[in-house]
Amino acid sequence: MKQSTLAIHSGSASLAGAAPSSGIPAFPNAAGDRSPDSRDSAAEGLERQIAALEGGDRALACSSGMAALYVALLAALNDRPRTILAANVMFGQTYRLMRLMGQQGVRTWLIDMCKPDTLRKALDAFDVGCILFESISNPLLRVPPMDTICEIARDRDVPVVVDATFTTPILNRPLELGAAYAVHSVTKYIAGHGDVLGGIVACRNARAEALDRVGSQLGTGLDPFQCFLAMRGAKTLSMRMEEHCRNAAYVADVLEDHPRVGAVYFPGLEGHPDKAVAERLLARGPNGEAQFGGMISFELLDADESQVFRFMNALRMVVRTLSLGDVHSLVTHPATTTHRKLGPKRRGRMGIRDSLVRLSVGIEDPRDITRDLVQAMESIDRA
Amino acid sequence: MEPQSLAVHAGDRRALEDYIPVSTPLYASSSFFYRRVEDLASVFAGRRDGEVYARHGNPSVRALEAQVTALEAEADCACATASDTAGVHLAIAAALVERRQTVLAARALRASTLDYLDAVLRPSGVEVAYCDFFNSDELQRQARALRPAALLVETISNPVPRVADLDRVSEVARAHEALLLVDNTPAPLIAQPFRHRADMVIYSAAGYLSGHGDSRAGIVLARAEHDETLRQAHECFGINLGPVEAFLVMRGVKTLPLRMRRHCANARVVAEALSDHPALERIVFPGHCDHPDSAAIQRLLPRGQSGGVVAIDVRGGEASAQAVLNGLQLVSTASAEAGLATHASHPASTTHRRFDLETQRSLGISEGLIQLAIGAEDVEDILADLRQALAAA
Repeated sequence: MKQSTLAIHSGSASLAGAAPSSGIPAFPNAAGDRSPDSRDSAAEGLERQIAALEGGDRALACSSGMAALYVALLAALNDRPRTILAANVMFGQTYRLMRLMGQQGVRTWLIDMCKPDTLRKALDAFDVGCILFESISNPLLRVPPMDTICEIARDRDVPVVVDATFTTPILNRPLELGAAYAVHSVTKYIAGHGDVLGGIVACRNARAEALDRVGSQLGTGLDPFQCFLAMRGAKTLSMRMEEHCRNAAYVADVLEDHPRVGAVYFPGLEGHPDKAVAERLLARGPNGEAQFGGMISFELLDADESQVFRFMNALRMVVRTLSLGDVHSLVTHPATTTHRKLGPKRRGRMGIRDSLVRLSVGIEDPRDITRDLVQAMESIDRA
Repeated sequence: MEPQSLAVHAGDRRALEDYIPVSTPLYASSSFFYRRVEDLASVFAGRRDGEVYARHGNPSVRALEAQVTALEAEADCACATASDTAGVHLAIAAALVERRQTVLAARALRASTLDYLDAVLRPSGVEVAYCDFFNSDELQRQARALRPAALLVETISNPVPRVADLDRVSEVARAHEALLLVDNTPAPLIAQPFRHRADMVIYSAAGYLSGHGDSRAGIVLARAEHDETLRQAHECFGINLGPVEAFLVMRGVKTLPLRMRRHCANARVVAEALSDHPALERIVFPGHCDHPDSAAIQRLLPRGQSGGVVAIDVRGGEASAQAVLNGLQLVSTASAEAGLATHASHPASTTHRRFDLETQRSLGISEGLIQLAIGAEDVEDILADLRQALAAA
């Protein structure tokens, strides 16, 4: 079955051979057994759905994307050296998680995952427990060569954990390239409506035992109501991703041509260093067109923080908040939010300037999105 | 306000616009924004309070946290977690930040906590040692030998209801600069661990707090000095509670004082009524004056409130115990947490099955042991069901 069919049918009881033709009861255990090792059937539904979409055998729903990442790392490090080789540009909180894991002696090395030679050298130099990177990096939207990385890792038997939140199983399936665990913040594209906080890890059978053990005994499960909402959201994931990708390509073109805009970071633009990698790795759209995800980061030309804030405050439709992957467009200022705690020096090294804005392009009419962005940019210098 | 009033009022009633909802709305929202983006940045920079992202906090969850903080004597803050073990993990991780990665835990903890300690915490690089917390000398000796950074104990232990002398345990903790983490799941409102110098108090909110068998949650309460560390770890691990679960727990807590009174009263009647039952080898109930920990119980639990758990030891070992369980009609035998409905479990063949005989014996788990979590039904009905099952076995 194709992704869009799997999204709608897998996980529902009809494929599991049970009775009802659609849907999963959200509160099956209202009066019954909720001991930590019993599975909620709402969670099972979501887990089957995402496992099918990922081409995996097992998925585990977690209370957040961070919990999913934590569980995946613990599972990957099971019986391995307690070290992580991670990408040097990722979501800020991920570095803080690795620092907290450092309390228990887990060591982390950071490298540029877009350079396979650096990866090879690092794997030869260090005793690496697992590799961690994002399928498209947050917030600068680099696209590491996941196929090459997985191949290099496979030669050395090092498990790979991929945070695939920005690509979703619609654009890319890490397990098929050899990754051990694919992690998602369900909060983002999978649930997609800004009303869920959750995460999920998918894997093949060989890795399922470790995942289940860590997950159930740590007690990081997602509650049935949010599982239900996430599953309901995921049924339209494939449609939404097509629209997100199409809209983002449109918006990126408009931004690139606008005089108030400096650098535009979008893997679909000529000149993006990973355009070829993205074309190779990411699924094509219904008409064979290349797709590059729904995220764009851009710099406002010569803008300081107050000018960026003026731009964000002038937005009428686009929401200025955290998160991403929602049906509505939203903008985030990484320097004061998602990547704030890294500090200015580290952000500078990573290339995250104060003038950088991260845009999650929604599924509105793309002309409304660009109109709002343009009017807000034009208001910066008027004030 | 008295606890019974706080349970009904605390946490709720935050004004929205110019009206105030009596009950806190369910905030199914992953993120929050402000009219001016400066306000969002200020929240991140710690210059003002506010909601930004549901992993950091959500008004439905914060309402629950405010409610349980108000109800717990001497608590300053609370973190709600996705489950009970997530709460235990959070408390331990926060307690070990920048300290020795060593935990000394009571051997008699509920099975899910033991499973987590052995299968997740220890492999993650933390040294976990167990000892008998009911034996002050052994505790003292072990603490001196290990120099743990944290001690972990339950106020009323599982599955046999023993009671550790918290004053003595906290003395040992202070002497070795360890933080004392107390799981108070079996005795909310009854035992007040912070008054015995606990540093953090943990609840499986799926138990009495929620009480209706319809939600899964954990709570970690602490004094103000641990607030920041707890929050930081909570955000990193992302083991937050969802809004619906928070709402259900909060709704349950409103009747917690009434329910605990009923659970305690019913358990007392059951324990009294069965004390000379010919089918029973022994009964362990903290309200009995011949309980082995009666001195500690007098200091820890108020008179007449000894919790809702009664352990009975059926003559004839496992076969008899299983016959009793099979004969029960009203009392449920699902492995549920303590709540409105009475339930009975056989630890030797279920929760504590993975432990060898010697360990089981050291925990007081005999083959005939049945743990009864007495519910809030009419006690005559509970007793009638237990009596008929015991008679038939």
